[in-house]
Amino acid sequence: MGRIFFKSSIAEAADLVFARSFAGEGPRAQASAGLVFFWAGLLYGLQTLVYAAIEAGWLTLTPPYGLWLAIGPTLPFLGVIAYVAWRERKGKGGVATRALTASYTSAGLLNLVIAVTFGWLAISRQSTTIWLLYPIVICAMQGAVWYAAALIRRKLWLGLVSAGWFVTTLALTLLMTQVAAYLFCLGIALLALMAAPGYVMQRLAARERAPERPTSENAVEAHTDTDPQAAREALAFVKALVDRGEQVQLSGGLLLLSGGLLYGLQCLLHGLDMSGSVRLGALGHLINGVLPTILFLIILSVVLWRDRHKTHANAGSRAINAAFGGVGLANLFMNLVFGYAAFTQKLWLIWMLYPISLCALMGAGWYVAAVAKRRLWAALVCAGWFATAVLLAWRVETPEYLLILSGALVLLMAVPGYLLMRFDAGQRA
Amino acid sequence: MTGFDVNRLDDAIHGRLRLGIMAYLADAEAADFNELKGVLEATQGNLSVHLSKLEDAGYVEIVKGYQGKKPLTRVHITPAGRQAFARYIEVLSGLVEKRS
Repeated sequence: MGRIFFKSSIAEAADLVFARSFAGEGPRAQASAGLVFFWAGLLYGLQTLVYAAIEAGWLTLTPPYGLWLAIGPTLPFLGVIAYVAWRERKGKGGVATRALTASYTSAGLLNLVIAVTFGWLAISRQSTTIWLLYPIVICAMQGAVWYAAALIRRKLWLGLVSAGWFVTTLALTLLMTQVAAYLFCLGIALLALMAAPGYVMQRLAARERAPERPTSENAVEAHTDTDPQAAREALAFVKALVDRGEQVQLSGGLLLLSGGLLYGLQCLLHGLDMSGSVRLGALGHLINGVLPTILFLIILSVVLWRDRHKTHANAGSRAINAAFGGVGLANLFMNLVFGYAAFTQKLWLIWMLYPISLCALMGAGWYVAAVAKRRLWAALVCAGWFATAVLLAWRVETPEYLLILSGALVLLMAVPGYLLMRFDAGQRA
Repeated sequence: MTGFDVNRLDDAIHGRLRLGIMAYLADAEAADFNELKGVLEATQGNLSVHLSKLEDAGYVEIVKGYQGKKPLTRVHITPAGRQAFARYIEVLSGLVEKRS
């Protein structure tokens, strides 16, 4: 086996455990994600369709049944989550499988953060509109997750599911004033774009699993060259090849650095203006509002042109860049959704929800990076973004809101961007 | 699967480069030719030969296409390939466990 590995017995045991788990992890992880998606889509899809029927006046529920309908799907779904978590507790995947699983999990984390922040704001402001925006953000995140899955696994059908979620995002935005139609559309999307793909994932995983009693046409009489040491080296080689989190690289450091600095400064100036510390004036507001975006678009164009032929060196890098690509795409849709909703509802508060969603999306992206790279600093950036989303919801419509956002953009976007650029330069050298 | 039987070692996978290809694809599911060449530090000719052997065994599927004007070769692991790889790892693990 060429290269010689000198390892302790503990490391050898770890290689053994890893290799055994890794060999079947791809289909196993796919089956688990499929199971969660299937039940989530089915339970919440049916629940949403019942709500649509109630809203349309086709069905009436008396109080105890209304409560059962509200909490009914969550109880069995928590059981599914607990079962999957228990089944997967010892699973060890390669870096690409790990990133894909983290991508699916990040959708759940984002769901939790958005449910808490939007739920609290909807209740405290007595606003149905805010509550109706919550599923729209989740749809965009689902679009991001399936987009990442399509790029990681290079499967067209996953891309079509992603496109379906983004179309649903726009459809729900346009249907916000017609609640019955909105709920009907959401229910159908949950069944068609979550339950059905979940079922397909389980079927595909079952097809790929190894049979209990295998036979192989390629089995040979005997391998005189396969001694235990060679086998140990082979297992160590497999682990070293697919478990290299440190070689996973997130590109776009310059974009994070420039975006964090430009928009961080923009928010700082707006925040200082709101608190009365500085006076921007009409022209100052216009420049502060437009200039950062113009500069960022110029940098974005230069980077896209420069990297137009660049390919990712390994599957792990492709995976986390796909996850961030999905975040970027979801951000674009969020911009449209919140811009349209704020404009049509004439409510500034709705626009203030956009940065909250963006922070949660960034947290989801960094969660995938942290799991793939296994680096504490990436996990801290992830936690920082989720905490910022909650903080922003708490301080919404106050001058502190923009100052918190400004600090987060610099600390959690510009600084990691700079670190990534340094790391990239170090690798090239 | 219990015990160890050296006769079950799959000859199509047995070999550093072929094992590397199968391990990488078991994680990534699909990879471009140049990506495999880079991560496995293989030469073009050597990689082509071993990919052909795996394709003949039905363990990988090679799809040739274009990205823009440049030719692009993408390699996908097949369900049979996944199963064979899992069995191979199981047999190797058995060998290590039995004799250590």
